[in-house]
Amino acid sequence: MDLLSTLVDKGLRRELPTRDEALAVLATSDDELLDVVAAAGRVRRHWFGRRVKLNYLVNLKSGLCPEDCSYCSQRLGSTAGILKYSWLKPDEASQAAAAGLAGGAKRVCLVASGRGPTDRDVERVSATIKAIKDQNEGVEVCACLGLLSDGQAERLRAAGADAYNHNLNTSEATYGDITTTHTYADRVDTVTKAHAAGLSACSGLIAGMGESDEDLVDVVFALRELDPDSVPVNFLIPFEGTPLGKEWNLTPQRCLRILAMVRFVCPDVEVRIAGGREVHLRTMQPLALHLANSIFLGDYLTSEGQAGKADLEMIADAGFEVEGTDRVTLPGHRAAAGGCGSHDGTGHESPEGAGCGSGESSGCGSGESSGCVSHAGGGVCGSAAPAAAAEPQVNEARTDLVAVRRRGAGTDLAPNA
Amino acid sequence: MPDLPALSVDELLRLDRQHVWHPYGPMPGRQDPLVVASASGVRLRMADGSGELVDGMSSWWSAIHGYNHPVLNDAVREQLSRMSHVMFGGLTHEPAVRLAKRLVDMSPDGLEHVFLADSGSVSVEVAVKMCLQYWRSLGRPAKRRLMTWRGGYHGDTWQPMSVCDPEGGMHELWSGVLPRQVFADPPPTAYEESYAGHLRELIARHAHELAAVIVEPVVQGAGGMRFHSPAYLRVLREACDEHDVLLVFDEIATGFGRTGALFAADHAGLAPDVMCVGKALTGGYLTLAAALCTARVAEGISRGEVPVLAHGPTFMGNPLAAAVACASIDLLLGQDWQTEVKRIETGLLEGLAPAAELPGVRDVRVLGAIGVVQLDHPVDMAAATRAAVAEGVWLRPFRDLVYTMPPYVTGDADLARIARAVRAAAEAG
Repeated sequence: MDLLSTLVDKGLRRELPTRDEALAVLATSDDELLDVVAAAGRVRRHWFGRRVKLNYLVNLKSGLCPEDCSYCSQRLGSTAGILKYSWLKPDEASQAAAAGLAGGAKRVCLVASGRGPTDRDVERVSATIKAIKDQNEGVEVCACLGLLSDGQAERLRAAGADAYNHNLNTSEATYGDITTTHTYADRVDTVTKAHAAGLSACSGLIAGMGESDEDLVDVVFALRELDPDSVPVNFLIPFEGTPLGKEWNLTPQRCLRILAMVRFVCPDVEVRIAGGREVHLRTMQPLALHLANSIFLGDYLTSEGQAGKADLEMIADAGFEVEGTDRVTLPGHRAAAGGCGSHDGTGHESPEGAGCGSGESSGCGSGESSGCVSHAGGGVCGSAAPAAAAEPQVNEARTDLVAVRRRGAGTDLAPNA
Repeated sequence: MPDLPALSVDELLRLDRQHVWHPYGPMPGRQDPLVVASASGVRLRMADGSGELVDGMSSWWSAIHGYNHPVLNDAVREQLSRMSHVMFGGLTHEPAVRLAKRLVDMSPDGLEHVFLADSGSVSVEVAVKMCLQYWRSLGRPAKRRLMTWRGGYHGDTWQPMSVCDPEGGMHELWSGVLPRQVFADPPPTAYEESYAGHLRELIARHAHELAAVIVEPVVQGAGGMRFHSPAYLRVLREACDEHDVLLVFDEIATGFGRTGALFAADHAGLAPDVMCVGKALTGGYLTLAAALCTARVAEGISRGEVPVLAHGPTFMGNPLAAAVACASIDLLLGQDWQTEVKRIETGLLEGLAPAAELPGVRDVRVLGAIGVVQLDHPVDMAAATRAAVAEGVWLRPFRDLVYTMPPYVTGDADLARIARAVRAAAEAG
């Protein structure tokens, strides 16, 4: 297939595909699916080998967001029965992080609901970052706190944050349909601020909110333009009690095509499967590892993920390996380019070379498919729930697939890691 | 009735003037009230033979199903044939238990325990007592002040008065007598980060002495009929959680669908620690209110040195009121009330929009089944009322406000008439 060999060539050369090529990937048929995965898989292996980076979410502050993002279980007016709590104390957050790190994660993503942090919140998070870094050598910390004001990114950087996550979520054209309380431009501004402060930028999207193929291509091209080090791809977790609670319109095949498209457009960037992995890819999850080089371990912000042990087994069974802290995630040219802070980029030019120093690489996709301004996702992932049949259009809430998180951070119960 | 001769309207008014206090009135009254002979549907029938008035007030938010409703009448009759009242100490009965269960089921998650009180003000007294006693039981008696925002109204007994707007509530008059509470600025209509910061700062600063924050969510009623973004409720919830302060929502006016949500807290998707309901609770049939609280509050109180909530009105849980409240709730939830409230909202939006062009009108606002025309001057209550009555509508303007919250059963033609009357009252007043 001409399209696919063209895309592989471009991916290996880090050359941008055309919009039509990206759209064509999304338009491929189910018969072509394995060829699409194989092609994008070649690009993935060229830049990232068979490594899978594990990220671990800690929801510092859950629910009660004043923003109205329609996809998010923590939004204004959400009646989803999620955990709601205010700031975890630094030692509580550190404990939660330790569980994820013990399970094999190398990055901790600290997420807080809300429009954006106050200066006092930044101080709080700084203390939390310090606590985590003191107790866990080599850990990468990504913050995801919403829209940043001037100077806040610099202070997070100084406190030891390696990365900052803020997703674009959807195309500029459709942004107003999912949120009215802030704009697409606000989001771009925060990603730019984080980048300028020397934080590794992490910014991604949510698929499955009723957007068109054009919208998906728009947002992925916009992301490439912003040049983040990591791109979390969330698949909407339709949460009962949110306006998009009945928006079940993704199939595993569509998810794979979307991931392949993102891989072709952002070949040398960490592509992370974020919220929605379990509920939308379901038994097809292992195939997605050929496209993405990064996933979240354990639970999401407000919903349960599959058991951490099941994630590790899946990675091993599919012939991949968990990326250790001794390996740098990104290819050498990106590490050296400074996008990700790169203080210890070793300058290897080999495709698999040292990316950003551990301590710096990619962002935090905050797991959830998206949340309010800060938490990227309303998210949730259903606990490895029994797969729904291949019927894509389900017009009702799927409480069988989406399980609200009731363990880990903010509870007395042990986390899933 | 025994064989007493019916009072003539003139005689009735004379005796009224001589003996009867009216709300917020002098004695004797300056203005004769209108005499109502009966009411049915959305119409009040006047005793002087002048005809009927369409009710634009739902008898102060309460008569959501209109008057003389067959279903509610039956509920009262049915209960009357069993018992109209029995004390609640040591006894209980089906209407009260059913009502408590319905309230717990329909209210925001987490509110599990119900104290039935005999009026809205008393329910606020009980709510405040719950909060103060909670902290006292936990060994933190210093936490005994309340915080609220300006522009509120919570009732006319002492604790509620202390959290009413200091000017509207005439706190000057009661200085030295009324507890001094912490006041935030009035909430802006739209979400502003700076005001959210103001709320957070005030709660943090006074946390050591605050038992609770108490507010009317989304709509401030008799304190000025102002609306605000539900996002502020989330700010309050979060700051209260962070600083160990309880949160009380006074949903006495806003409850039971009036704002377009069953409870105004639902606009924000959260629950307070204590919630007061009243007014529309019985569909306007009988006086009844309730304070609902979470298990945390109840358990806290019950762990204290005095492990009881020391409150017990004689008419607590009145069976007649509880029975009609159950019937009213069933009537509400058994219909597509959201569509009805939305229909009234649309009708008021259309009907009141032209008022914005009238001289002397400062603002026109509508939310759910609430329509408000705010003037730039104190309303001439007599002139405004006369203008509304001339249009065949009952309104009760106050301060700088001509407003309406009609029964949900108001038809489109009556709604248009109410809107016309509001415009006429705004122009005349």
